[in-house]
Amino acid sequence: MLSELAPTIARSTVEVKPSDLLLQQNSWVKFSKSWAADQDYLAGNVYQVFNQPLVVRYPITRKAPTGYYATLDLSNTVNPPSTTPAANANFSWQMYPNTKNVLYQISVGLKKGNYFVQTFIPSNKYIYTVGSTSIYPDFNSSLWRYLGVKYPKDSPEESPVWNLYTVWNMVPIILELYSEGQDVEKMTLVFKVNKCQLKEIPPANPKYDEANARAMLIPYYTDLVGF
Amino acid sequence: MATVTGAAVIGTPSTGGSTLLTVPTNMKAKPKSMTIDNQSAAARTINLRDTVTPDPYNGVASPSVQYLARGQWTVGAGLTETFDEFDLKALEFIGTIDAYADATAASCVITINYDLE
Repeated sequence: MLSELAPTIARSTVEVKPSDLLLQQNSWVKFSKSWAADQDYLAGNVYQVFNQPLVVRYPITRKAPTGYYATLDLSNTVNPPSTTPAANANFSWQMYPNTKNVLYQISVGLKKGNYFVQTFIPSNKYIYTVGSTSIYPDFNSSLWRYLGVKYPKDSPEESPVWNLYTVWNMVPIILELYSEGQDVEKMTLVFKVNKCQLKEIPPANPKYDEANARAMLIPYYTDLVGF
Repeated sequence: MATVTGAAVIGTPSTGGSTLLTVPTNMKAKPKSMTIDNQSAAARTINLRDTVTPDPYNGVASPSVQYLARGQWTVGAGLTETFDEFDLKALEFIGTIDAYADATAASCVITINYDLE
């Protein structure tokens, strides 16, 4: 459901730009077996991107007073915001595919500003935290407010290294943007949605063993927590 | 990284506020220089405000507009004052740039050069 650049460049022998790490035609991906809890048809399967992916730039800006946060629900769960100011924050930004066998790889670039981002998958599960159950990220606590957050320098707009992955009808990804400016902060996230169409490589396929070994693993959120 | 550089707005500050620029949704305006040309008969005190309506945030579904003071300058009668990037460092606008004056005078003109980032 998400990946970052660091583990990839650790194995690279040439200079790599973040944009080079977007999935491309003929790239292989593999879904962990934990996907059985959400999208059973994906669990443990290996796929190949068969189209030339289309990258859709999708900037979103939220303005919030310092000490408060704005919520972004990236799923398709409820309606998108209208062009007029939304009556409330209960809407979804429609960053999930609307059919099966499509994967959206979403790079997240943060424009400069005095804010940070906390990540939840689904809405009540912190992804970036440590294994101890006695502490957890908490915006109401000056001590634990910063646990696991992303600052603009962690994935800058010009060279994003933070990727999210979405498939049809999966659990919501929620980002909370916490403002820490002098009064009101403008927080702009530039998403680039890399739209990939997938074709399964069945175990009987002669390419399966190589693809299975070399495919990029897409974990389910339960793979990312609890340790 | 600036995406629009060297743009300028010119206007006459007024007691009720004059909008010089509406900042694009996904950008911030960073003034690089400002000139206040006060050819009126009295000294003028100019205020710049950033007029912003926040988006919905935790606990507030429909935030109200905020008028955020960003600076005040007084220029004597018949004088022209210019402020450079160093003077304006850290000044930025996210909503609209509105210029207020202690009295409206057509002969007092403000020019702001800015980048959009």
